[in-house]
Amino acid sequence: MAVDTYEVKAPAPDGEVRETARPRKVPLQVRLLQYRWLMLLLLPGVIYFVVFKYMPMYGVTLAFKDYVPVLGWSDSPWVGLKHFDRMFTSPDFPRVFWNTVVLAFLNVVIVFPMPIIVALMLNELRVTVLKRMIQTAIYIPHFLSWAIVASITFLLFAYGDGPLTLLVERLTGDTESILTDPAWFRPLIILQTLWKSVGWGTIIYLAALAGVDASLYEAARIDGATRMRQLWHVTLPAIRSTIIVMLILQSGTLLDTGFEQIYLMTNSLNRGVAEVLDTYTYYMGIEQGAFSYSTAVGLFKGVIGAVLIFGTNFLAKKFNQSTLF
Amino acid sequence: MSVHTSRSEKALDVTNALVLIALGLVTVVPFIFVIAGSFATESELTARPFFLWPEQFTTASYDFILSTDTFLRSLLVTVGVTVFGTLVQLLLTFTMAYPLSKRYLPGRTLILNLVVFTMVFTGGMIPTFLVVKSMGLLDSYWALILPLAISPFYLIIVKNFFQELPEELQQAAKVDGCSEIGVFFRIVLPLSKPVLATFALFYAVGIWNDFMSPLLYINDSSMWTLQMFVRQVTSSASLSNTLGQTNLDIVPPEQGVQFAVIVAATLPILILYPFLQKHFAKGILIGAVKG
Amino acid sequence: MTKMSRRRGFIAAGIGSGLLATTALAGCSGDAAEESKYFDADGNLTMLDIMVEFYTDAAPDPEGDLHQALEELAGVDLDITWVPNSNYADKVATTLASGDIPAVMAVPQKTSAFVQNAEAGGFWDITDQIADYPNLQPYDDDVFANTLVNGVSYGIMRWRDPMRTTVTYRADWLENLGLEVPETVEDLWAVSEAFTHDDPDGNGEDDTYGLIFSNWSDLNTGTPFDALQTWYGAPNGWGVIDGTVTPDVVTDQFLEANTALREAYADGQVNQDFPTLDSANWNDPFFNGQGGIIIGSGSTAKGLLGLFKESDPDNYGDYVTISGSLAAADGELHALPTTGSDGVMAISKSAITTEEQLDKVLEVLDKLNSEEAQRLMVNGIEGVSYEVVDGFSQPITDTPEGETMNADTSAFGLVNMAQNGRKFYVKAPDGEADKALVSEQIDIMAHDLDYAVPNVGLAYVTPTQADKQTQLANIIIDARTKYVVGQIDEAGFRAEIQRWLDEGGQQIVDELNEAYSADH
Repeated sequence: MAVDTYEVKAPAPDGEVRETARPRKVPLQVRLLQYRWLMLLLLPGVIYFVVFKYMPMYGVTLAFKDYVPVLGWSDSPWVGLKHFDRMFTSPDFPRVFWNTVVLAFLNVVIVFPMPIIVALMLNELRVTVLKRMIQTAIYIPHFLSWAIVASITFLLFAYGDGPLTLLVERLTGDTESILTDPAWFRPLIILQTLWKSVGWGTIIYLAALAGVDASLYEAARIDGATRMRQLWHVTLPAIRSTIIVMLILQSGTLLDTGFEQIYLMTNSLNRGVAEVLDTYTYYMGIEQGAFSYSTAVGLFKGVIGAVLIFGTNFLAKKFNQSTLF
Repeated sequence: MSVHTSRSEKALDVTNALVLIALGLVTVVPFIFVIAGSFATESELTARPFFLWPEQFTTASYDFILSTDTFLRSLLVTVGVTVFGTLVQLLLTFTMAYPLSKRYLPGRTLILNLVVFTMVFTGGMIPTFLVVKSMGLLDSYWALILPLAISPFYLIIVKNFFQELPEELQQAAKVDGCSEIGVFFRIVLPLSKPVLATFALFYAVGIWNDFMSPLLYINDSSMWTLQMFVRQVTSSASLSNTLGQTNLDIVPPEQGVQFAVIVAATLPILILYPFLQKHFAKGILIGAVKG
Repeated sequence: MTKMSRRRGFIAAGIGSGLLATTALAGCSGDAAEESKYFDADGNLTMLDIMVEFYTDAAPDPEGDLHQALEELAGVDLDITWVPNSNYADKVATTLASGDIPAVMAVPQKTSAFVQNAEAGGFWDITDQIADYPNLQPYDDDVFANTLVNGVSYGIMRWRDPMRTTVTYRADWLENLGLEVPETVEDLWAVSEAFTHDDPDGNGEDDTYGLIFSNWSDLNTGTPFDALQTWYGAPNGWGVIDGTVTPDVVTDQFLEANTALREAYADGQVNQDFPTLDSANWNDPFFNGQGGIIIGSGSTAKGLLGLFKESDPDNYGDYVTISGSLAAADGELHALPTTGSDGVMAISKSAITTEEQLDKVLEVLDKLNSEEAQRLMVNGIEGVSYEVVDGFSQPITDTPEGETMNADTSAFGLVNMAQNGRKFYVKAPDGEADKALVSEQIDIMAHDLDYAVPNVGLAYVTPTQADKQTQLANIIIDARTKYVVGQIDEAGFRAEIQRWLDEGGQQIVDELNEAYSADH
């Protein structure tokens, strides 16, 4: 049991501060020698990132070329910003970009907090058996592919006789064509995402919650704090750093709305709101064969992602919150 | 403690439990339908859109899956690749995360920035394919493991966890004559069991569900993983369209078979969870308050 | 100790492979070792790799009897990459873009990526060479023309029935209402109306409708929309009207056909959920007695018959009846044909580099188009997987060898080309009703073929098509669906068609006319 006590921690032991201050005066080669074992541990990972992440990055040059496969990567002609020009003047692009931004926004405000809320609720559940059963149950959907999720959605929301269509009809009094109505598209997508990912998302928060020191609750109870107050003053502050790190990490991939899910839910009647950057790149790259153009769109997405992730990290630092580094 | 539990708190507990039970039901009911469907006859599946118990119970779908060795072979391949791949991924991720958790390490910030950069910026599917090919990994199980060996996302979380470990223990070990590598393997890893369990699950599920890697990197169909089989059986969606195009009378796989394949491909990895669950209970804390 | 050494080995491997990758990328193409992959020192072809899609749940075993027999016949080792059909497009795109192209590759559709690649010299132009090979003579010039890309043949076509359009009806409903199988589109709407309002199943409830449509609405791919439009007299994609190549979308008949469908939809004669109904599931409402008409192919009818066979083995033939293409209101028949091929098998220039090498490959492909090879790939080995009965093949499924080989033929059927015509055996139908259906279908198809409306656009892929095809197609697909379900009116539909013309459609019309008049 003693092994587990590391979770109890006073914020930042000052030993670390001393460590950072000292090496500045020491020459680099001495420091490298001093940390040779750490460097050795680091090496395989660094090689991995160089080989599998950075070497393929020459691929982005494609965005500035007119790629002809026969000529190969290096001999295809440079065309400068032609593809970016086409992107920003395309009649489709503003709509596609807007659709992506709206979904990203909904993902942040609705999908992101849900696993936290559910994890907190599970944490309050005192019946261990029930807790474990529910935990296992809600994480099952993570294993079903989007194709299955889509077909189940089609079944439940079928026009006319889908069980949930009937429910909506009862509630609103209207016969809705949920699967094709553009107004229903985003709610459906968010609902699917929640269903599939909330349970899985709770794992990391539950792990963090389990690490909260029990004596803090004891102290709070002695002070007469209600459960709600304990939640607010003990539990939430304890997992705040986890939440912030998760938020920063996810901000970078905000514009990744997922390809398959959206692709499967798109139809002729809702395409106006359904098409997002991920599906657009697919249509252009795989179906239309415009590799260079779709690379340009991907690059644009990457730049925005980089700005977002480094930006939020900077903000977190500024407000003295946990950061990635 | 229960003595002091007020009536309103009890009501809160009950509501909480009910909401969670409802949530659990909502998530399992469709899966129960898939299981029920896998034991139903084809005419029942055509006639009844939704049910949780088949009227006519049959194992024909499972008999069909097991009638060839394709399923069992790909299951074995998948289990092997998942177990071995997860070990490789954990080893690479944890060995890289540990040095990065040391704030005094030279070049640490640069490396971390470069790591985070790869989360948003990738060369894309085709350049990655070319790298994998040039390393001679095509048609090798390594192609299913190495290109995804470290998730930058997980790496950062593990690194943050290491940052939280009390430095005193490690310092003490160093004084006792351990090198940093010794400290890592003898002190740090044993302390990290809950984190190892969590990321073992994350990585294992990632490999298990990976479909793009085998599609792109493995041409030899005898080396295919379960997900290729699942995909092939379940994505009959576009089939009947193309049926008009080819001349062959290809009958799309029956719905019951599709369901059976999903169940059979999901259960093995699902079983993993309860085993790892007890480790989560010990808790991890990530993210550090800036000191 | 062991932990340490294992890790060091791993690191060493990592560094080694990293260096390898760097040099390989810098060195790039022009690998001398690649050449010897196909030819031995004397220049004989020893191996051929083929990439092809497959539909069955397992790829054939390369050690299997069928694969071995085919290799023996071809005289070379065959290295077949089987790609799941559902993701063939992804695989083709990666393959093309990576330059890692097998010697022979199935190209089911003339996608922009393929056309750009072929025209830039990625695939062999074999238009002139095929004359030298007896089994590579096109069996039909019109069908062959459909496989060309702007007059150039980039591969050996894969044969398919030139005529497949079949309408399937609930025979018992027609019987109950005393109706005949339709012959014209007017009849179709009359039957559809009766199926919707006259209680064809006699259960006293208003719970049936006529036509089952689905979300399958890609342009000019043999969809129910295409069939209906063609029957009304619109071009099949592209037609020559008054000497000008004209797209179907600008014709009155196109609008007329979709207006008729719109009216039927508004009257409840078409399933209200068709924009989301996957065509993989459109048999369900027919089988369940909700809808009574499907415009599809012979395979649709066969599939439906199979469903009824399971539920009512004695009378299953009483539920399904068929017709071919339907005549227009003026009595004239415009039948919708297929393209006559399932794309081509193209030969890559990066794998096969010289004309001499190409000849060697074509020799093998010639062998693979022979009668013997066709029967091997589609039927299997006589006596093992099938027997010949009255000119049909009767599959042998009660032995393990027969079962395995029949499964393999379902995959190898996609490798089968038959450029000089079908020489394999058609599978014998089992059961009286099946036999009747098949023979009726053969008659209908033979009759309709004389009235087939050709698509003159198929032989061309113009620059604008290569550049914008997908986006442009979506404009029409979406507008047509919206028009049929009543979300936009006729003016709105016309405005969308105008948008199609403005955003590139007109350019394609001009380019096609130029190309067409140069050829004729």
